[in-house]
Amino acid sequence: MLSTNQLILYDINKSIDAFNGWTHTAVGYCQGFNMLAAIILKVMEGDVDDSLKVMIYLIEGVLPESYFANNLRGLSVDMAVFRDLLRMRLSTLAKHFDKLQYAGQDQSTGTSYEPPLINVFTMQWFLTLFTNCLPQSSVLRIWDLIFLEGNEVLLRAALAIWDCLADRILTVESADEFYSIMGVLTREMMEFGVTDTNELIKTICIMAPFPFPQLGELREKYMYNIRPLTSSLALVKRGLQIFQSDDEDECDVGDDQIMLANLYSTNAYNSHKIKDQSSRTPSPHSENVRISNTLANNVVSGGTGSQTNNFLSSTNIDSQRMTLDISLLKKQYAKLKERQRQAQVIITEGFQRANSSAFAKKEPLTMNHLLLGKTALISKRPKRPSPVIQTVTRANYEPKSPRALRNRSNTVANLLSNKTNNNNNHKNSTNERKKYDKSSKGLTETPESETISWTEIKLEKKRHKFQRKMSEPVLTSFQESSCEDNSCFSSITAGAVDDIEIVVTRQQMKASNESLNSSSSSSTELCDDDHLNDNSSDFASSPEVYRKNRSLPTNHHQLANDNNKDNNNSETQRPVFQVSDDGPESYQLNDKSLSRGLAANHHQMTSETNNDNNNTDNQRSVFEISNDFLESIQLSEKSFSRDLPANHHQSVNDNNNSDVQMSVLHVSDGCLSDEKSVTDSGDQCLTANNNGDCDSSIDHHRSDPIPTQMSAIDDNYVKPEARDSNSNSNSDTSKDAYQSIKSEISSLSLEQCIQKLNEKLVSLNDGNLQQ
Amino acid sequence: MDKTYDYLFKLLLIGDSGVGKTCILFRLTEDAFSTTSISTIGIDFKVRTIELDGKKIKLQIWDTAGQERCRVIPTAYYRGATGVMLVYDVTNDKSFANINNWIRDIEEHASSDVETMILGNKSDVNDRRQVSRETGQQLATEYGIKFMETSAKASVNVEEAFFALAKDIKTKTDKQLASHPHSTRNTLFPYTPNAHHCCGKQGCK
Repeated sequence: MLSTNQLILYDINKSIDAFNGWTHTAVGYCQGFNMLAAIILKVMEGDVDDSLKVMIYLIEGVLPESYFANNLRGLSVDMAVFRDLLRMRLSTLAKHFDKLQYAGQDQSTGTSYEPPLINVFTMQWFLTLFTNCLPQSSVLRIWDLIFLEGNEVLLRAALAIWDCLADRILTVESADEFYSIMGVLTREMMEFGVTDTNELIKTICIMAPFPFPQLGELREKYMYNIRPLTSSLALVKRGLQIFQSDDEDECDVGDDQIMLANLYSTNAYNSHKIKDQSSRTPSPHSENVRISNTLANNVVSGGTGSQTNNFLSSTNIDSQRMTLDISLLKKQYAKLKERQRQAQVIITEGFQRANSSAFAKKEPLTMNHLLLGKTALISKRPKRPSPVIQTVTRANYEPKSPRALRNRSNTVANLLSNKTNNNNNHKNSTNERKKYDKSSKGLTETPESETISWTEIKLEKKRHKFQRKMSEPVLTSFQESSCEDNSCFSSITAGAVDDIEIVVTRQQMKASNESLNSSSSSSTELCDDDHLNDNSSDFASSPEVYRKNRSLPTNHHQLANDNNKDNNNSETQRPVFQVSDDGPESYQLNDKSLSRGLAANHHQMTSETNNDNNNTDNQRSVFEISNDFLESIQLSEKSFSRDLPANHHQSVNDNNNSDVQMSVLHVSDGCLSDEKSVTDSGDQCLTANNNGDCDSSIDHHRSDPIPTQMSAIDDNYVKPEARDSNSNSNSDTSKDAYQSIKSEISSLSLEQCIQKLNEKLVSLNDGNLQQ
Repeated sequence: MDKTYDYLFKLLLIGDSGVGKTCILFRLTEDAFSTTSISTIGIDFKVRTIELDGKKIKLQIWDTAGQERCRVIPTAYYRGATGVMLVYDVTNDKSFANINNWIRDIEEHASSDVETMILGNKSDVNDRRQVSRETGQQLATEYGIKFMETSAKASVNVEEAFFALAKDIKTKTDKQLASHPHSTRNTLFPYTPNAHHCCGKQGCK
């Protein structure tokens, strides 16, 4: 832990200034960042620029989404998840906490209500990543693990710490005593640590296999439950305070309330699903409503004895609550309906535009994504075809993405929106498109980290605006829009897109395996973890099938290859933003071609990208680049892993995102030609755990990503269960599509680029349609 | 652990970020002032036991993060609070304007009869003052809430404010006890589950 003095020592102001460049993004400065910044600055030896990169990577790439933004929703989710984990893992302690919270305290202290006891502590631990709870040596070790293994280490570490404290906590008999003793324990922990650091790390690692069992499900459960419930409840808050569970915080959600929350979401989900998939919905709506009502009744009647429900004991109030419940359900349903309608509007509009504009054939691609649920149902296509180009080439609507990636995309969009020149406008549009690939790819990887953004009404208004814009030729509309419009737009895009994704993804995630299999491969990306696991075994056991699919010759493959050759010869200097945007495509595509034996292309293009990026002094675009590189690296690893046994597929893609992302930073760093790169210090300091795998992967990516090394990385990251390889086929084809566009553009001026890009999109989609 | 107190009051400190909530608390519990205090993360608490009318009152004071996005965190703590200290910064009229929002929060999340008090902190900084004492007093009167100007730095009115609040709560509690002798002692709000037996502590005979 850094003391105040140390904070000053590292000139927190300097870092805050640096973060200010970032504050207009989705996250912005949050109380508690100073703790993180202090540690990072120290580890980075005071280099503000690099620290900023690490910081952004940490917050956007490692930690769950909305950990520091959006009313700290991600944190709230993790708090709720953690209470469940505590119940599962340290049941004695959890029961003791419950006892203190509910029964004991109100006789011993006279108070009648107590929020969950551990919240105040766990929240601080999570928000500061343990910097204000453990000595720095332990903190750094835990951070290593967080960077290496992902954010679930937070929960593991908290479990480990509570476990260590359990003995002393079990002796207390009231909440008040608990707080008193925790005051002492906190100071002790800060000074001496909770236990031997090596022991602590060991506990964290061996308490469960990575990834933590059920963590994904739990996070998903709370992610979907907390917010919708409370937001709809806000309107009837006064009358329904009992269910209120205190906003997103949901700190005092008892079991009853959780059950109720589940009801809402289940119901909402089902009604939602029914709308789109009425013919296939396994559980009829009416039945669902009945069930939920029954359950609600149970809650009402059964819960009165419990702590939270005592207040409303009269039957009058009970019936009032029932009414409110139903109205809430209705509200929820209406909301979803509206959302769906909006998605439809966008789709339809896009479709119409497709018929009348030069972009004619782009929209089907959009259709493909947005109506995944529907197309899946009526799809006559064989299992897992390779229509991938659609997904990627024209991605006006972002499919579900892992929070890290999407968050980053949003950030990028926001960053860009602050610039007024055409370059940026153009980049925005390109970026928009790119986001979708990222997310589509990413989805399979970390589905448990998804969010549903239940946007506010005001966002919906914006969305309409967005729709109008989107119906115009993409690039020109961007150029025409004013600066303000533009900035507004990009954020809207992100938000609106989120919403649409939700609609699709939610239903898709719950869709039967049948529909998953019959839908396009892009739809498979939208499945959740369970489905993934279900399907992955298939993929794993039949790599031939997969390869066959992959090698289906498409126009785009050929096109891409042609363009590849053409444009590698013409390495004209391109506008910087253009480059930073397109670079990754070239990178990924080259990885692909490389995997086909076009090694020369690969190197050439990679170096080209790097050179171009050297011109980008602007730090923001650096992060942009790093995003893209992340994508490309993931892709490249995927493409290489294709040649490995299927077991290897999931390796980096699924659970070791952090590793890959770490390497991203390094790549971007290399692009900037920073002498003192993140890599160097990062390797020294952040990986004190001496994970050789990580180091090696970083080096490979940064220096010279050649296939053997890539496979080596894959080998390093082999995980026990095989995961989906489906997204690979997507990315492959999409890479081709992008490559063709990108390489063509590389030799042109910005205007020409835009023109070309449009044409290319049209032609690609033409071919697509014909297919 | 022995019950070394007769009453336990849970107080909540709220207000915009940077108004000096933590400093007030620091002054109250440690009687010290730090110019380099770090912003509160999430929620924190401190304890101070005071003596009032011969009774020992343990104040469990919850210090909240004032940043907008952190406002959802303490909502669970509003409910258990018997008193709320609403702090603004006299050198920052925005924090004063936000009092209205905070009061709305209290109305929304706290029990209906929670004791509230408005504190105008940093009263020692007169050259940069943006909110006059009168304005503050007027607002407090409008809401029917007690008001004090404090200075954590100069140690002005901090103790007095908490004593005043504690006294109000105690008065209310005693009154409630008198009218409902069998209700839980410190319960001032309608959430009371099983308003039942006495707590069996001294002072609750």
